Amino acid sequence: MSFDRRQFLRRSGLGVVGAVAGLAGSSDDAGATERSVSESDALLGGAALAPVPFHGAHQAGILTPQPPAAAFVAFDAIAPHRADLAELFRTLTSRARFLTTGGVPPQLGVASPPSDSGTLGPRLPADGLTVTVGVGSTLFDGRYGLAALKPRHLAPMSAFPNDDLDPAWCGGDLLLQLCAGSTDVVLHAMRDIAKHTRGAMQIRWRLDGYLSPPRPDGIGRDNLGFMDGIANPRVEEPSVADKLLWVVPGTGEPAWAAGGTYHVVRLIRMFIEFWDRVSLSEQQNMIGRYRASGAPIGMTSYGDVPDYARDPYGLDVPLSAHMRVANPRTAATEPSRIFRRSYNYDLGTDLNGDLNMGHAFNCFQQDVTRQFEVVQTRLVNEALDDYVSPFGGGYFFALPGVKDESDWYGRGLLA
Amino acid sequence: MYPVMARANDQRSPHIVMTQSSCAPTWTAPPTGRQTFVVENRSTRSGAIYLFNPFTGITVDKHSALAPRSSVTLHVDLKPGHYTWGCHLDGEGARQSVDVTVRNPPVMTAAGPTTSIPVQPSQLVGPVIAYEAYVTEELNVLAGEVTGLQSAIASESLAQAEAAWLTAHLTWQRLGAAYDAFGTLGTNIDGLAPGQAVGQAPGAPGGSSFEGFHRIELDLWGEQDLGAAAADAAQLAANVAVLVEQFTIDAIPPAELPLRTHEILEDSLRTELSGDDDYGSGTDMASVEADVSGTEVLLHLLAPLLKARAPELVSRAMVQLNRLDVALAATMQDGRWVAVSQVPLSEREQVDGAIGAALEILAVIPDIMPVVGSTL
Repeated sequence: MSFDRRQFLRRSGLGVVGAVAGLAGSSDDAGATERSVSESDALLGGAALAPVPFHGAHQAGILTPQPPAAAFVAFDAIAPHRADLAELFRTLTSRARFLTTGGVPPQLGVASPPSDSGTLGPRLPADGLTVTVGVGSTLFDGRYGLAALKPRHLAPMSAFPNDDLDPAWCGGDLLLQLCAGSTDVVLHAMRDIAKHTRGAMQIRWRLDGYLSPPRPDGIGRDNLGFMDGIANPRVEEPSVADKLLWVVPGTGEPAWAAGGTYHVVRLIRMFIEFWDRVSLSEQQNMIGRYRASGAPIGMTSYGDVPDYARDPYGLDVPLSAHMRVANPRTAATEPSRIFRRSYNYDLGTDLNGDLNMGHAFNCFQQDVTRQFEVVQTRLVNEALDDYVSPFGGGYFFALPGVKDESDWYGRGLLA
Repeated sequence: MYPVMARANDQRSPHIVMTQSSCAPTWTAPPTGRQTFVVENRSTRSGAIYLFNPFTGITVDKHSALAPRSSVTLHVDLKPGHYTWGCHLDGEGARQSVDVTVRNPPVMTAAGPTTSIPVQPSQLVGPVIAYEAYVTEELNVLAGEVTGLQSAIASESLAQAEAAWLTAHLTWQRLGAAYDAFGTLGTNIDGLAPGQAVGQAPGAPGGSSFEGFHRIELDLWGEQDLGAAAADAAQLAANVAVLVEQFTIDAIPPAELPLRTHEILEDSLRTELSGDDDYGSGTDMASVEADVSGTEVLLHLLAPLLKARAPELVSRAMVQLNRLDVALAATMQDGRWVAVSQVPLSEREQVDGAIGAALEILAVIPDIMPVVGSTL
């Protein structure tokens, strides 16, 4: 019944002593049997990305170039009262500020278990870590008296006709998008934040994501083998971002929400075994691009922009292709464009032996109703539906940025 | 270590004054680390002054011949421990100051400000004796309840047998702190099927020496076999009788108490709130409630020692333990306990969040009261 880790540790300690004594007794062999550390290190990378500034009008992790590792972690708030909820957001702020900056964790001496898990060594690298905090519609129910402050378009995620949503993988009062140069940095941040917020929020679901490097160039490929997310609106230009990305004054949103953005995460299983048994031309016609180059069908480079006006019957890019339905590139559909920042996922194996792999679809927009919902509605019953199964995710509102040392996530909402 | 003549800027350093009739009368505990003292001889004779540990007799610093009406500055690296000044004027008897305890400065943890102060085994004698009395009393209650379980099984009422099983099992759970003290007998009384994989039926191949509460749980809820339950309950009664007979104060090493204040609930989180030890009764939430009681008994016994090290610890822990009790009670459906897997996510989150918050606080206890001479 009981597990005595200390006895276990003692036993392992003795084991180590025994092993060392054994080595000492046959020191001639030691050089021959022990692989040197530098040798085993040779295959590892380890160069960390530069810190991403934490303070700003908008949160990091949206316009920030995508680093290769990510985690999407949804939490339910269990803070008893609104004051405890505000304390939770302050704690989130201080942890995120520290983790994204990097440095040496506080030394608590012998009076406590260590303040840090140690998984990144004694000095934390920032490694491009970003912590992007969003809130779900359920946070605005009766519990904390926030109903009147809910962003106007924030609602539970819609179930589209071919979705297979599992409640255990859906929703959440909060969403943390964690991105960094490597998986250990992402997981260290998740572990740290969970430890410091126990009793105030509890993990509801989580999915780790990874981004493939461009092969041979262009952008990383999804698990279908295609370059996904090539055509994004130019949101680094403020005039575009203020139309498509950020909530700005005059959009009918509560004042606190300015500078935030609607965040949609859709966890999409891909039936890759089935997909791999489909001919290349059929795959390409479903997507609308060449698989090898990423170029729109009929063009030569992944960066080429298709001109649908010159291809009204879909002789190059079929009218039913995913890319063309999602973004028809007309003046009328321009306001529905979304800013995508997706990752791939890999999650073990099914009962039938199929690999559970897919796509953590991830996008940001000024208005989830006018943008994501319109795009997704256009895509209902697309040919790709047979090869994918959306099973989870949610709609969240990514909070405005933390402006300076005295500001905190959601201050305008909770202060 | 290197006395130099005192200068004006030493005025902020504590002055250690030796007079004809007193030795460092204003001596109070400084923090750990490098400290500076201005040592003054205000008497009319020269003399020696030294800083020492009154328990070990070891001198940490000394100035042997301090002239009358003069002063020197001493720099000393202080580790946590006991420090007393000794003064010895020429031609006089030795005097000494009060003894002070130098401690590491408090650090902020989930338990609030905390300081680590070693505990002498003698300081734990009181709590251990009180705990032994508690365990002895509860073991007697347990023996009676196991007899009650046997009667209920003999009456051939499955419902009564199940109710009697739960009553006895929860009494056992409240003894949580004593698991290790019971050794093999403890495993015989409340062990799980050996080598059991999650989802595999207990008692399947490899489960040869599986007996005790969980074996009977399987008899009652799984097999509904009162005959097997009667035999297994008789074995349980025999084991409990041996335990009542054998249990003595020596069974509880003093250093176990601080460890167990968080390990009871670590066990609850790992084997009960995961549902791993549920062989059909669906009473894990009730077990956790009993574990909370067992934890509170220990917290209460250690409270005076904890207060000196982390003044907010007990009150902070009680906030979370009370919250945990409320969350556990809320998982009952129509007045009955249900299996962890049957509890809705929102209710489980309240339980898991509260126990997690409690554990972050309780986890500092073994660190802030290391038991002198213990290797645990």
